[in-house]
Amino acid sequence: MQWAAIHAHVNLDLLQSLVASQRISPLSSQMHLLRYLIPFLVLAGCASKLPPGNATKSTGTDSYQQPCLVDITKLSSLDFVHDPGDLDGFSMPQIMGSGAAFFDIDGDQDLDLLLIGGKQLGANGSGGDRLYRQEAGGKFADITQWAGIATGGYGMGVAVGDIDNDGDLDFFLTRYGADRLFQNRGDGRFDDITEKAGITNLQWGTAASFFDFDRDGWLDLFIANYVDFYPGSVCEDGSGRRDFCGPKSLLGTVGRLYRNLGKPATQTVHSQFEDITVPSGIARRVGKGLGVLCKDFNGDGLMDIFVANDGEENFLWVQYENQMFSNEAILRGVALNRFGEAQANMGVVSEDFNDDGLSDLFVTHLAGEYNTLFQASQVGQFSDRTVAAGLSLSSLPFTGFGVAAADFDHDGDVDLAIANGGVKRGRPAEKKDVNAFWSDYAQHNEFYLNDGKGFESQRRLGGSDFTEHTEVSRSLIHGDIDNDGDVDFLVTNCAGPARLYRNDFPKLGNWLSISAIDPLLKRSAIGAEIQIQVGERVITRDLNPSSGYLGCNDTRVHVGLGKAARYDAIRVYWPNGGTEIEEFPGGDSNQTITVKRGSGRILAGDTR
Amino acid sequence: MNNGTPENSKQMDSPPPASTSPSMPEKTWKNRPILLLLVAVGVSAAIWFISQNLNSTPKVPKPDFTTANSNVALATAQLLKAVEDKPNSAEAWGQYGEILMAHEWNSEALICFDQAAKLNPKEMRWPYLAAILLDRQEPILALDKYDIAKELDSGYAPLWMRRGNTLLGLNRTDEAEASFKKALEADKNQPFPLIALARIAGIRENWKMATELLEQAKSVAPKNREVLVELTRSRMLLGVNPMLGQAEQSAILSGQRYDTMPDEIYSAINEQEVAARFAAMQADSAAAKGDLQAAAEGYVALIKQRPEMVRPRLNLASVFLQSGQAPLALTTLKEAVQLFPEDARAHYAYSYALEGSQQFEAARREREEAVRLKPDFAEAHFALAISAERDGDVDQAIQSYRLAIQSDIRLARAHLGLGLTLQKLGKLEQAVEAIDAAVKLSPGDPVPKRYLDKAKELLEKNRP
Repeated sequence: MQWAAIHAHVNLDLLQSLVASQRISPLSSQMHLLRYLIPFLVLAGCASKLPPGNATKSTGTDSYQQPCLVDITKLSSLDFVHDPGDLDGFSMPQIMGSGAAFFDIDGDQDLDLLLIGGKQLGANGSGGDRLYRQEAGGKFADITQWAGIATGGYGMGVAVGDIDNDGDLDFFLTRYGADRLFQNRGDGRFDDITEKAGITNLQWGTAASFFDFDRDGWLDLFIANYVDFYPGSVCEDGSGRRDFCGPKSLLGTVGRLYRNLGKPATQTVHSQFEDITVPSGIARRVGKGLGVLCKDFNGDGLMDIFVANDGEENFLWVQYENQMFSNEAILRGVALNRFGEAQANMGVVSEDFNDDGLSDLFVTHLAGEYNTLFQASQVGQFSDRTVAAGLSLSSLPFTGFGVAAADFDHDGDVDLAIANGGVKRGRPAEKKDVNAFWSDYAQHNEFYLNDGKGFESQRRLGGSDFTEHTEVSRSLIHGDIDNDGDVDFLVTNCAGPARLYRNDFPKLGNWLSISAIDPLLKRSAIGAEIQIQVGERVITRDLNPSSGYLGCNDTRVHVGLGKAARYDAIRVYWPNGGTEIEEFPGGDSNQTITVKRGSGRILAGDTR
Repeated sequence: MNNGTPENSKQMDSPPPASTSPSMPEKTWKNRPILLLLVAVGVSAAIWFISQNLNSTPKVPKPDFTTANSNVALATAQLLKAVEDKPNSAEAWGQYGEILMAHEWNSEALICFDQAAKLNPKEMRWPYLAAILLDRQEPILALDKYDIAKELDSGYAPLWMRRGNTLLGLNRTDEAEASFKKALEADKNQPFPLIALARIAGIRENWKMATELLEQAKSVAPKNREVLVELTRSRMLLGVNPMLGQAEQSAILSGQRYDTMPDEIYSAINEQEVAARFAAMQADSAAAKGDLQAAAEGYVALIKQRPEMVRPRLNLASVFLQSGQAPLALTTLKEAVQLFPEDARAHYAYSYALEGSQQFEAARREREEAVRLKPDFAEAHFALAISAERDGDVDQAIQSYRLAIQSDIRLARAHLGLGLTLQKLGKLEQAVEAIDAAVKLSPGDPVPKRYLDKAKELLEKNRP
């Protein structure tokens, strides 16, 4: 009733005014103009960009001669197995899986790993979360107890960010139960500061993301909440057999937005957060959020929030100057698929899949629905172009959750890896890596290579541990785990092992790995947009580790350069402070670069 | 001759060169009947084998019911038995397929629809439902089925819509457009084909055409959320101010799921619908057999299962009345009227319960409400006439009888009632005419005949 009452008081005037003033129109923002003109102004006399598809590749093979995505779980001493707890009750959180995060907990320049566990619902004591530190030889050591992260609740997702600008990474855990915020002491040990920081989310949190929506330099937090589920709920499948509940029979909830107030003068130990869900306008809509992606979707320099809702319209909370948010998903073409249907939206990534300089959205879905590619036709306007991109038919039999978008073969185009696993009983697959209970839910994962013209499923080619395993997969996170310049990834599985995959894909080009640091804030510039100029081509990427499903990725921005041996410039659109675009000089490919704010050439905007 | 014979004999004794022997054709010819016989037997066997296979009944699919809900298992088992009892009945196979489909035994349902289509190739439902089953997983195969279905019934708009969407999913945009146009031809009163055509215009980035099509859709369905939202978006992409009115703003913000094209065939196999249909069938059957306890239990279960349906409540009340539990019937019907105030049948049924408990005024009000809600409700008009007559409101009674007859000219009771009322008013010729109509409409019924005889007698007596 409370939310219904809020819903009834939606601010229609705001929507009317923004539409009437043409602010939805993509060419209204000076920032937007700068963003898209600068590459051309800098390279005066450059011809227009090459058409999509110029960076083509051809492996020339119908099958791979060697494993491409190699399961190195055992090799890495990674022994995590997700524990969903007692399954007699078919409790819904047990089928939703759990997340993971790649991040460097101790500043030793290699990625460590946080894996979220399930454990018994409602039980007291520690949950199933595990923190692994990467040690010499790429081995992972379980440091959970030492790190002090043991906590209760049924684990779901994780977001990583330096909330107190002290140079180390903190993290936030969503739970079926109370969510938790952990602050890094600096050496990889953590303190639970949830209550002290003022965060109280008792609803079923799923995806979460740190982002600086108010540009004050402190990372704020958005939490997607899922459905209003009680453990006693009993659900059946179509034939009346006991099964996990789906979202349709349950009420939705409201996502939460917390503003990071920074460290008050009287309190220097940790940041304080303020719940601004209601004043920001986020409380106007009840949803069933599973995926979150925060970025500036409409090019006005303000961060927006995309929420993937399970079985309902997605939300695109567009921010306005007064720090109010308005849901414009339906008008911007990302609420529904091309048939006007609300799908079971799960994981979400944003990348420029067709190399037109505009970031697109890709959302994973239930079996019988297709994973959807919302391609940007203008800044802030999207259309479902899944079919034309070759991504629809192959996804119909599978329920996609985790998703990673990266250039796995360095040909210059963004590829896709998708973690699949059912939520409703299906036909048991022939080959399974799971026990009898989970066999009805187990599915193959999927991997697509993008050749610049469209995507092609690689599963039929075999030769990849990633697509061979048949499990109930959920989160998929990516990062350069071995610092060899390509993107590896990890998949979590319901009631199964987390699997680490090394990228041994045949490489068709060169690469860059970019860290964008704001020295004043002592942290990665989460939310920055990075443009890499390579000849006439401009490659656009976001520094945004929170994407996919319940997970958090490496904060380094990886770029495949194709055949280019050099890059000409890197431009960074800094996400906080005044509007600022800074350019850094070019160099050779195949290296890891750190660009620091203030050390490049200011192209536009107000410097701090 | 002599010279020739030894030569011939000699030639026959020794093996002749294969290609030059003059006796070979003769020898083959002699064996030809046997060969022909063998060929004939072979061909017959082949024909028999093929025909057997063509006409063969597939193994009846039997999913594992053991873990299924008992109601579902019971309903499914009953329809399975119908197939086993009548393996050549397309309807039995089709209905079994429907319940399997409703409970997500999709591959089993597909076998049933295929067999139903084989047994009755002129029925469109079976290939159509098979197509719906396939189109989320195997759209190419689904298209084949849609094409068979469209040949059988080219006027069913939902079929063209679904086919168009499947084609659109395969990136066959031009063919999809043609299919949506067919849907529009088949049903011009629905906005959905126009929305789909606008969507295709959008894919082609022809926002002017998309806007025009959506304007047309708006004229057909001015309150449809999808129309209002897509029209706003299309105008924006066309670069014109979308000019949001209250309706557009509400549509954008409502978050309600878009309506879909009504599809009677598909909605009939909706899971709840099938289960409810079965439960209703069971309860009706029990009531017909006089097993009132079982019928009441069945209707109660159905009310729990489908609380949005009024019919189970009315039937339950009827069972209560039949079993002499009038207060329970009254309570049930009162609840039905409260829950379904716009349902004329509920008010009508409630009126009889009220009448049974001597609440005549209330009964009349319910009847007035029933005819207000459903002006062509012949039975309710008739009941209202009875109430009016009881209250001495003869004019109202006559009017109600006439309205009952107007609504259903075959309603013998209304003719009889009208006749008797007219007779009371002394309008004997009109009375005879009305009662005569009642007699003709119910030839086996002695009551109207008796009244007719009396009316005629009265008319004769009163002739000048």
